[in-house]
Formats: sequence, C-alpha cells, structure tokens
Amino acid sequence: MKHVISVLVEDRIGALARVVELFTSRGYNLESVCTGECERKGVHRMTLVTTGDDDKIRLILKLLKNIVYVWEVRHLKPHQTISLELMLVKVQAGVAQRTQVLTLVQAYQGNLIEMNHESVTFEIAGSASKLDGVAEVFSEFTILEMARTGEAAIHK
Amino acid sequence: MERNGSQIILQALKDQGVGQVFGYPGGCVIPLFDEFLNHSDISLIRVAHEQAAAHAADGFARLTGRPGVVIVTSGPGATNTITGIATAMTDSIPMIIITGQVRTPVIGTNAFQETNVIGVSRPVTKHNYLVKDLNNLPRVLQEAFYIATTGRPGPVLIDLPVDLQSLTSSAEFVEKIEIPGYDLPPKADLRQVKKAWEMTRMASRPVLYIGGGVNLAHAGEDLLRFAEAAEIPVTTTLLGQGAISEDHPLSLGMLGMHGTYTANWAMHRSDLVIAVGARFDDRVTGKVERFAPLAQMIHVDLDPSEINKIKKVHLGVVADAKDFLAEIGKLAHKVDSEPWLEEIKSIRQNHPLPNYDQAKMKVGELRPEFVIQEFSRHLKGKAVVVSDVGQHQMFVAQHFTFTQQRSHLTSGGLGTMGFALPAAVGACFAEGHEQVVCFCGDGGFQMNIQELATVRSYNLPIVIVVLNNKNLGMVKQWQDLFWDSRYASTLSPDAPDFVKIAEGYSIPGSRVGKKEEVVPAIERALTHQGPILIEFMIDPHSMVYPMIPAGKEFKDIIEGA
Repeated sequence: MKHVISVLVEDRIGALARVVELFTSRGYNLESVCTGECERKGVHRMTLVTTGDDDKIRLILKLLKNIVYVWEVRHLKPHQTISLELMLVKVQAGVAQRTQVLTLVQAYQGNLIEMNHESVTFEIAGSASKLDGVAEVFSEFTILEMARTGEAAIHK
Repeated sequence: MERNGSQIILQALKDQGVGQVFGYPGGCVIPLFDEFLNHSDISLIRVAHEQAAAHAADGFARLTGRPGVVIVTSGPGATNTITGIATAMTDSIPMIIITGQVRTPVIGTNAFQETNVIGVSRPVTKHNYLVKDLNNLPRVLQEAFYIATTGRPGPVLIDLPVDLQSLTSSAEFVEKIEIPGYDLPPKADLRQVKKAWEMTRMASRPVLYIGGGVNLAHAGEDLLRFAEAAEIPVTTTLLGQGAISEDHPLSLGMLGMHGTYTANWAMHRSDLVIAVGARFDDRVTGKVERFAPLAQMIHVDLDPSEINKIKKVHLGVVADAKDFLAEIGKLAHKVDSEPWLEEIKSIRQNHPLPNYDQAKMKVGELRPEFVIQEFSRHLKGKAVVVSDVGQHQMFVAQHFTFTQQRSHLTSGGLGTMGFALPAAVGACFAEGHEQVVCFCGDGGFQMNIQELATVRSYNLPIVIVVLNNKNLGMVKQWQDLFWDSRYASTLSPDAPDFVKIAEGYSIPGSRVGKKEEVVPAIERALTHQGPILIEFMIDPHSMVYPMIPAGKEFKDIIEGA
C-alpha cells in the first residue's frame, strides 16, 4: 500500500542522505522524494512516498524520528492531504501532430513551455495518479524526455 | 579568545572530563597530535592499529559509562576504525571519533589519503559531522558528546580537515545545547508503570528479561530491588550479564542460543515476560513466533523504534531502564510466586550447565569450561572480564559467574572477532578498575594481536588468556552439527606459538596443556604485576552446549553431546 510521509529536516550536510539511507539500507521501497525549503528558515520539508504494510510504516516513522536532524515526521492520510506533482514532458511533434498535442495539454490544464518545428515541451501538474494517466496518454507519441518531481504534500 | 582548531578540541575534551584519547597519528592529524604535547592532564594512548583505537575507546566506555574518544588520521586511518565504530553502534556504546580530513580546498579531489568518511561512517554512527567552518567546531564538539551520551547512546564522528586544526577562531562554546530534532526519552509514564505492575501482579509465572540497556543505565540496583520485592526470576542477555549478580537465587543466567536450560525453559513457560533494555535479538529469540509463546509481553526501551520491531508486545513503555525499574520497584510487593520459583528450582537442579571438574576430565583432556570456572572461582566476580567472539565467549558467558554490573565487556550484537585485546587495553584506563582478564580464542586473538605492543608500552596489567583449540571453534561447531563435519577453512593446525609471540613483545607467557597445571597457572597470573599471557591448549572438539540452533525453539534445545 502507498504511504505519504512528510518530514521536516534541518538543512545540514548529510541530512538528506540519512533519510534516504534509512530506506536503502533496509531495502525499503522509496518511490519518490521531493524536498525543498518550507515555511521555516533553515528547514526543509521532504515528502516521501513509499509502500509497505502498516507495521513497516510504523517502524519507518519511528526510525525517521530517530535521525538527529529530523524535527517532525507525519504520516499523511489521503483524505487529509493536499498533494501535487509537476511533470515536464518533451514530445516529438511536427506540424502534423502539433494541434493534437496542444489539445491534450489544454485538456489536462497543462502549460506550453516551448515549441519548435519538431517538438513540443509542456508542464502538467496534478496528483500522481493523474500524471500516471498523462504519461500513458502521451505514450502514443514519441516522448523525447520526461521528468517528474515526485509528490509534494501538506496537511489539509 | 582566539584558539586554533586543535586547541578548541583539547579544551572540549577537558570540559567533558576526558582523561585519555586512543589514537594513531597520520598526516592529517599532525597539528592536533602536536597540541597534546602542550597538555599534561590529558594523555594520548597510541595503539598499534586504528581499529584497536576504536575498540579500546569502546572497552573504556562499556566499563565506565563515559564516552571513549578516538583520534585518527584521514583515509585508511578513518576506514580502519569502521569495524570498531559499528561494534559500538550495534551495542549502543557512547564514543567520539575525531578523524582528520584532507585540507578543505582539496576535499572531493581524491587527494592523498582522502576518503568520504562522512559517507562511509554514516550507517554505523548515531550521528556524524563534517566541519568545514571552524566557527562551528566548539558547538559541534559539545553536540557530539551530548548526542553520544544521551538517549540511546552511540558513536558520533567528527571529520575535521587538517587546515582547520591550525587556523584560529574566536568562536566560543555555547551556553546551551539546542538540537531541535533531538528528543530525549520521556520519564516513565506512571500510568504505564502501574499497568505493568498490575500485569505482573496478576501473572503466575513472570520472568524479567534483561538486556544491555540495564547495564548502560547503571540500573542494577533498581533491578534487584524490583526483582526481590516481587520475587521475579531474572534472565539476562549476553550484554545484560552482571545487571543482577549471577549467584543471586533469582538469577537464571543467560538466555538464548547458548543460554542456560533453566532460563530458556522459564521463558518458554512464562505467562508474563518483562523485557527491559533488550531488543529481541535473533540469538535470543530463535524462532520469534515460538519465543515465550505463552507470555504476555511488556517491553521497556528508551528507543521507541525497538518496541514492536521484532515481537508484538502487549504493553510498550518508552522509558529509561533505570527510571522504569525504580518506579515499578516502588509499587512492587511480594506476589504468590512460590510454586513458580519451586518449579524453576527443580528444573535448575535437573538441568545444570555441563560441568567439568578436574576429576571428571580424562587424562590429557583440558576443557575450556574448566579453565573458565577456575578463573571465576579465583576471581569471585571481582574482575573486568573481556571476551572476544566465538566458542570461548559463550563458555565465558556460561561459566564465569558475573556479580557486578558492566563487568563483562564483549561484542554482543556485531560479534566482532579481535575485539577483546584492544577493549581490555581501554578498560585499563578506567580509574580503580578491578583485575582485567582478557579471554580470546586463537582465531580472534590474531585479529588484533598487534595490540600486545600497546599492552607492553603502557605496561597494562592484563591477564591475557588464549584458549587455543587450533580451530575456529564456533564455525566448526556449526559445521559439525549442520554441515556434515566438512571443515571448510576452520582448522588451524599451524597456529603460531603464542608464548613466543608474547615474548617477542617482552610479555611473559606460559603454555598449559594439562589439567593439573591450570590452577597453578591461574594463581601465578593473578599475582603477577604487569601483563602476562597464558595459552591453554584446550580440547579441539569442545562444543558449546546447551544450544538452541538458529531459527529453532526451546523444544529443539541440545543439552549436550
């Protein structure tokens, strides 16, 4: 089962490494990590997405809190969470396919970033499952490059 | 006040009451080592290998409860300490490791003797620091000692570039250490303590399962008060030995794979297990589902992540062992445990540990159990016993009667061969310590044998006991039991002459091959001033029993051959 964990961590050398290593050293799955500044100075908010049964998650939450630089650990339940992910996509699209791509981008409320005679680059934000759908829909085109940020989440 | 990095470190060490540091010099710590020459009130103990510096600091910390301090150079100096740091981490031993690093401007260029120490040490430290701004050094040092010694203790490493050791800064030590993310364990919740006592009171077959956490918390007296007040039998883990005197009527001895029959039987029959400062290690539990299968379980630990990690418990209490035991001791009174204690007594009488007195051994047979029993009889528990890893470690755990807290120093969790000799070195620097006796097998002894040089240089009064069976006995035992006696790499017919080796280091040594020579040799060693080595040529086929094979349960116990 998918779990979203929000971690407040001091912005110090090795802090991110310790968090990530907690997962890698135990062979736990870490689907995505999204980290950056937050409302408090010198502190980052990391959103971790992992999978596992409830016992494993409970252990992970405690182990995360044991890291000296970790201020706060929160297990975000889907119904009390606002989460968003950003996706950047560059698809191969000549003149013939351009309209079709742009229509789809618009349907997903995405934004066009760049366009030339052979490709279209756009961004789409949304839930992870929405972006999974986007990736699938655009797979009928040739995707030249794609990058996803991983989910960022906060409590409702 | 302007101070250079080295002076800041020396000041911090003194502020923390550190009397000695274990170290080895090298290019990236020359300024720091030089500074020690300016201070007569703190000594730098030079060992012969960096791994040994870490084990020595560990031995000192296990005995005293105060952090051991290590200083080594960058690159190989630092990586050599890793096994020692991991050993301390696994057993929650407070330690400070200061590693020199290459000059700040060349970090990351694969400079000579550069290693990513902060990366290499991360998984085996409670916390670590790379100091790149000298102004942070005073605070980092204070934090390091604080983190190493509070909560669940552990090693903390500080990586300090060599240029900062000579640069100066006016940065001062901080008034108050503030680490916002670092939580100390709460005081024992009195409602939970009351609940624990209610469960205990209702139980008819309670057992206290005591781990290293009780020794770390110096909580032996509190344990004794509680156990005696409620008349609850006590079993300990390897690291919990001595938390209750093993000659106390309520002591069941050690539990687990090579624990006593009585302790394992009691756990198997118990209807309430109170685990304090123990972590349900696989060497204790065997098959987890069948560990104490009839018992309700109370688990007290100051690390919340230990509770429910291996075994689901009925009551988890996050608290310091001493605090919990003191509080529950206040509530405790005699419960009707008479039938239970009687039952245990009869099991104990019918299932004693294998005993080898002089009369029982055949001519030419020398059993390690006998050697250890004789040491125990002569020392009467008044000793610091350091054991290495393997069969002899288990024989020591079984046949030496530990009567004092923190009197058995051994690598429990990591099982580090080569631990004993350097840890014994460290123990010798504790003030007012008892006789230090270091037990090794012929395998482990050779893993840090170079420390005989340190023993000699500082004239450390260690009785070094090498139990030589000319094989790697513990692995051989498994090969005998489970691998059809196929001795892959475990026989050492060409093991060296350890007496000659000792002599090479100017340490007197003698060899004992006959049972009649054991007692005189022990008496000679215990009255000797300074270091001495005795090599006992023990039965090469000795097996450690009882044994519950890995992953098995109480009913699978092998009591003896």
